[in-house]
Amino acid sequence: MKNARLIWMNIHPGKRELASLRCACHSDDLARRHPLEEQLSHALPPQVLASSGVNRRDFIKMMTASFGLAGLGLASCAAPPPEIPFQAKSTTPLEPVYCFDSVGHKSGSTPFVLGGTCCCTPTLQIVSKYHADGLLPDLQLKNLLAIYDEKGIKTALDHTGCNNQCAWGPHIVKGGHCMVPPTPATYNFEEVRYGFKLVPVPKKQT
Amino acid sequence: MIEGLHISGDIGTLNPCVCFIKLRRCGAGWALAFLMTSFGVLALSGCASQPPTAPASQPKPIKIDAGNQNSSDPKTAGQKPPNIEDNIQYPLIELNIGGPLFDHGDYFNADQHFANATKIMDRITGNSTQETTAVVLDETNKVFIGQPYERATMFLYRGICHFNMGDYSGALAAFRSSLVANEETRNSNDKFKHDFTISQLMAALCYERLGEPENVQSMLDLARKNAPNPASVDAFNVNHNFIAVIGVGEGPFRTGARTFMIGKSPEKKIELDIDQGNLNQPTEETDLLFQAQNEQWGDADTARLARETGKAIVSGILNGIILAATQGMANPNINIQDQEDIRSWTGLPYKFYIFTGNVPVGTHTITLKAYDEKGVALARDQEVWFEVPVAAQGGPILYLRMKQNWQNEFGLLHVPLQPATDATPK
Repeated sequence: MKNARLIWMNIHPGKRELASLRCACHSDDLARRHPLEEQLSHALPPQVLASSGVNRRDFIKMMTASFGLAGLGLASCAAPPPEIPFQAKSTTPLEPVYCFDSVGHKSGSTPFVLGGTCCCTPTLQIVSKYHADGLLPDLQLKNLLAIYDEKGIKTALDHTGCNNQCAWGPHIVKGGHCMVPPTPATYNFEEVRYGFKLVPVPKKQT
Repeated sequence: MIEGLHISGDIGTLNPCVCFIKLRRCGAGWALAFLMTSFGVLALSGCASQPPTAPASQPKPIKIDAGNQNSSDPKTAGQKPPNIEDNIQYPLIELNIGGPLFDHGDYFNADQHFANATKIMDRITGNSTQETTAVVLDETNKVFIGQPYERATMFLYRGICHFNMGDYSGALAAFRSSLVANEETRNSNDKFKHDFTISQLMAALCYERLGEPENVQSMLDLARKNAPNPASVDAFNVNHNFIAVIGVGEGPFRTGARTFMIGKSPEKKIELDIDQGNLNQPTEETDLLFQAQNEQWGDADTARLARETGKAIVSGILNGIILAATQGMANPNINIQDQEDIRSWTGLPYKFYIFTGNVPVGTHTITLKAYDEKGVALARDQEVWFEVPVAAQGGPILYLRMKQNWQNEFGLLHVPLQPATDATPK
């Protein structure tokens, strides 16, 4: 206790009152020993006991304050996250290329599997529309279905609701084997309808 | 914590306090130690330059494929493969896969993933070890079963999936399941017990498609009675031919016990524009953050209390055992802390809006506009969809997702398709 008081008074010789108050608190802390230490004092080596009685509470406070300050410094050094560049989607639609069930058959188009732009589900009604346009007069529904089967193309007669992301996808206009009409209000819908795809700009151009 | 450090510091061979007392005695004092520590940490972390551009380590994919029958490792080659459904994260993974599929209109596959998640989340008998561990130690060791608002939303999504695939009976079952799941969400007066209004309106729509007008009316009456804003129910008409559900913003996620936050959701007002000129006002039906914050009064809260009670009992037992074993030692404080489960389904919207109206048959350009609290238009939130088909009757539920940068086309090019070479079939 005396050593602690002397050290403190050497550092701050002009503040005796404050020093005595602090030393009193400090000496109380030093005098406090854990009951476990009392029990183990005879079993521990002297170099371990030499450190007992140190005011670790203040040490923890100091370390906490240090890390807090370091955290503040770290936060001030960090740059704000960059804002994502933005380019709004055009409000002008492109020119439609392909037709399918939900947007209606485009007059004058022929089945995609025969080199045309019609992706409507093969039904008697659609075949009759081909005939009404004067196209493919010899085509029968069973022949058209056989062509789809031969090419392994699945239509809305087989399944629905997949938005061409099923095992047979993508859509046949993208090179896949699924001809289910795309779900409206999705990018897949517009890609199939307008015959485009979105690809990242090459790095040189950006 | 200080007590623990105290004891371990005395017994351990590396004692930081010995270094500290030497530092004090040499006269350097508090200031030197303080500054050294501060500048040391600053130099190591804050102001340090960026690390060398070594190839970034790829994030480890979550393995849900548990088959090891063909493993080349001789130790595991002959073992029975573990069941992937025993993975405690399996339902969460399925939800996180199904959510984006639903947003992008793949209703068939989204419903399959939601069904996989439902199968585990609704399983009555679980792994007893996991259940016990969750009760006494760590909640995150338990199979993810979701919060009530997550389960209600999942069934809402499943209902829309079935509805848009023409299965109105299945859709009705899903919407009613959504209402049952929402019963966990309520306050002490049961005020919010049935306020997942959007599912009630969707159920009424299913009844209309199934030709049950009495049930339509009873469901609408129930919605009007329980809705936080009954006027919103009046704007809903099952006989309209254009029905849109709009998911707005980035929804709630858990950050701790009874603590939920939302992502970027500055949208305060929504407008639905048909063919660029016909402005309409969708009505807000369900606030998922509000639902999440109210679930503390439901059965989930009872489970929480039971779990904490169980942990207190186990702590007491362990305390007694240790006290008996170390007779004479004071204060063996074994307090099992409750580890919060902050797993949550990400990607959900913040609020659901509904708009119904009579729209001419044909295809229309649908534009969604959002405004902040000052009435300023949010360009990053605007959505535009071309040639949305509208039928005279029996049309699907149009699900529109609105969140920031959802239609951000920066750095993207429109390239014409070349059907013969563009994609290889799966």
